[in-house]
Amino acid sequence: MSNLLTISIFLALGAFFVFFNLAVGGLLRPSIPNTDKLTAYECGELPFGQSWVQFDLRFYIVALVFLVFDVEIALFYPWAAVFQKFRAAALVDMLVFFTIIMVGYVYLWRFGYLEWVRSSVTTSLTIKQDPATLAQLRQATRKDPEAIASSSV
Amino acid sequence: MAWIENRFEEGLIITSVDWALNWSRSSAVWPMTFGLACCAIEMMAVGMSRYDLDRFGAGAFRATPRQADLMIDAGTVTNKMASRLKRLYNQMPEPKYVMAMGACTIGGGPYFKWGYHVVKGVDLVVPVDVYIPGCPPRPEALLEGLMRLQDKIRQRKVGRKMPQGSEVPTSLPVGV
Repeated sequence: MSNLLTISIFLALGAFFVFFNLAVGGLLRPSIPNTDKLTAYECGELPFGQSWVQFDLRFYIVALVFLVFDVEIALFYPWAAVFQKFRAAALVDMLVFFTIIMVGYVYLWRFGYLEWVRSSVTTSLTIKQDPATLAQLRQATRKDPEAIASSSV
Repeated sequence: MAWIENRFEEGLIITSVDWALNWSRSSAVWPMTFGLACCAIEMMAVGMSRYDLDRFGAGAFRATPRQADLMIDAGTVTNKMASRLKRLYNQMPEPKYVMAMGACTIGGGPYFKWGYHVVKGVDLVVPVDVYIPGCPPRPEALLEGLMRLQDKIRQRKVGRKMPQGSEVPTSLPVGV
């Protein structure tokens, strides 16, 4: 019971301290609002436009890919530290892990996520083409801006 | 205005309150991270360990004017920067102070005659409390300027009735 009392005294003192200081500050500090204080701080520039701007969704994929490889590198460090001890087992473990990561990487590569402008050639599995025609199509979409615009996702 | 300001006659209690307020304000002058030109290099040197602005409680350079008490105009104020500078001044909370550091901010300096782009003294833009001459001033000079500013802050009469017309403008019209 005495412990509870101590805790309650501390809590009450803490609450008192917060509100007392807020009250004293309210009495002492000047309050002179103006329009410049109410606008957003843009390093002195006049702010324009809305802050609700949509960023390109492709940045999301870029961030995810970065995160995957970042985590992979981070996991390599402890693995390297214990590699001397476990040797073959550690190697197999890391190979399995690395293979899973690489499957994701190949997926990204195959479906054109590593290119900023994705064409319909790369984004679908249904188009069956022989490699020569596929390469030709890729070349065409790279060169022709209209083809890129019509086929990009 | 604060509740306490311009309210009381001079007396032992109110002068003690003034002393405590001025002591706390003068020993925690937070400058704004704001360098305009080469004088800012000296300002950075003052912030580092050799000159150590933190000894005076003024080493906490704030990245926003909303937390800053002091604007050190360190460097050449161009005409283009003047409106931004004024807006930043307006965004600072009261009480706020301005230091004009270096010849350019005091009166145009080397740009006085031919500098078509330089404001001939930052006091044409914002009210200045302390002028620090030099081109650029030594770090010691900036420290001296800070100490003079602390003297000025200690002379504030917060709770006492002030004579009319002695207020410093707190917000200025910004031209674009």
